[in-house]
Amino acid sequence: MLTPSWNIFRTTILAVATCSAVWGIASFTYYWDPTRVAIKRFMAKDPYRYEEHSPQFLKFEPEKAITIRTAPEAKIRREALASAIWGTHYLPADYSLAPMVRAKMDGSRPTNCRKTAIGKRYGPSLLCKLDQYRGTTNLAEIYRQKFTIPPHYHSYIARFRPKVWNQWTVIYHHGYAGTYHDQYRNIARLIEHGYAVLAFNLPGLGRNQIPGPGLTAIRQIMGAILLSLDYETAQAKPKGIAMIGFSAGGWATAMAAALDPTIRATYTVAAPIYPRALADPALEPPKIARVPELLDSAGYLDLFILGTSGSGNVPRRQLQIFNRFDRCCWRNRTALLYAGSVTKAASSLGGDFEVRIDESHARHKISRQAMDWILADLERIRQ
Amino acid sequence: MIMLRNLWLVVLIAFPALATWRWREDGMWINGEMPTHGLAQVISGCGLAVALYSLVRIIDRRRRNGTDK
Repeated sequence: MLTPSWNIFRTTILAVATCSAVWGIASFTYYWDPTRVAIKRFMAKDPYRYEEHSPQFLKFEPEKAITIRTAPEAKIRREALASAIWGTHYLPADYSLAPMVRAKMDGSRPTNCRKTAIGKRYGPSLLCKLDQYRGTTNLAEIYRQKFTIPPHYHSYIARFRPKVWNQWTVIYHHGYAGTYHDQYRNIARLIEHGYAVLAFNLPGLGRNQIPGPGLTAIRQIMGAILLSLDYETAQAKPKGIAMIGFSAGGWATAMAAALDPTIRATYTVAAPIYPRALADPALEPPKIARVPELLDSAGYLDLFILGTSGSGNVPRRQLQIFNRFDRCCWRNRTALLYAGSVTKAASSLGGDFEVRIDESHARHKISRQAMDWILADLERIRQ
Repeated sequence: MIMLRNLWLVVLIAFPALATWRWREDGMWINGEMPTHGLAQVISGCGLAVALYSLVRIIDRRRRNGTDK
C-alpha cells in the first residue's frame, strides 16, 4: 500500500512535526522564569557573571568609601548635593507644577495613540494608556499634572488616587526604554493596598520632553520629584511617603531619598547604583548615574547613608533589590559586598539599610517576589 | 499501541492548554514570568506538531482503507 515516495514524504512531515513539538516545549523551558534561570546560569560565559565575585571587586573596601558618620555631616553633605545640582540648597523658585487635571476614563483618547514612531521610541502618554487602569480595584481617580522648568522643559506626572486611602503615598519612578505603564500591574497592586501613587517617567519618555545634557537632565528629574513631593505633602498631607524606582528610576529614587528626608522608605530595583569600583567594566551605566559633580558631593555609599538619615526621630529605611540573574545589568550579588558596612553606618544614624537579591528570574524587571517584598515591607513600616 | 500513539497528541494539546491556563490564571503573564511571545511560540510549535501528526494519521488511514489511491 505505502509507496516509497509517500514514505519519504511521510517521514519528512513527521520530522517537521517532531521539530515543531520540540520547539514548542523548548520555548516554554526557555521563557518560563524558573527554567530560564537554570538555562542562563548554565550558559554564563564566566563564573563572575552570576556565581562569584570578581577578584577586582573583592579589593573594594566599603568602610573607606563611607565618609558620613554623624548627623551634622549628613546635613552638610545633603546641602552640598543640592548645591551641586542647583547651586543652592533649595529648588529654584521658577520650577512649577500646573493644577491637576483629571483623566476621564470615559473621555476621548488622543488620536495619535496608535503605534507611531514617536510612541514606539519614547512610550505612550497617560491618556493613551488609561484603559490599562480600568477595573483596578480601589482606584478612584487618575490625575495628570504638568511640571515645567522655564523656558522650555516640561514633563508629566500621574497621580492615582485610591477610593480607600491608607494615608500613605508611594512614588513610582520608571527607568529607560519604557514608561511606568509597563508596571501598571504593580501600580494596581499598590492602589489595591490603599496607597496613593505618583508615577514618573524619565525625561524623553512618555511625552516628557527630551532631556538636557548632564546636570540639566538631573535638574529635570529631581525637580519634578521634589516639587511633586512638596505638593503632595501640602495638599494631601500623607502620614508617610515611600518611593520605588526601577532601573535608572532606582537611581532617581536613591538620589531623591538622599535629597529629601521626608521620604520614609525607598526601594530600588535593579538600579545602576553600584559604586564605580564594583561596576562591571563591560557595562555602560546611564550618564545620569556618572555625573562627576554629584559623585564628588556624595559617592554612592554616602548617598545611601543620606537616604536613611535626616528625619530626626522618624526612622528611614532603604531596601535595595538586585536581580542576581538580570539579563541586562547590575546583576550577581555584588551589592552584598557593601551591604554590611552601609547597614552599620546607617544604623549608627538611626536608619535602616538592607540589600536583597532576587533569584526568581533572569530578566530586567520588578518580579512578583520583589513586589511582595516591597508590599510586606511597606505594611510593616506603616504599622 | 493505539493508546501510546494518541498519547503524543494528548500531550501536545494538553501542554500548551495547561501553559495557557496557568499563564492567564496563575499570574505567569501578570507577573511577566512568561512573555506573550514566549507563549505564542509554545502554542504555535505544539499546534503545528498536532496538525502535522494528524495530517499524516488521516492520510495513512485513507490509504489503508483504500479511499485514497
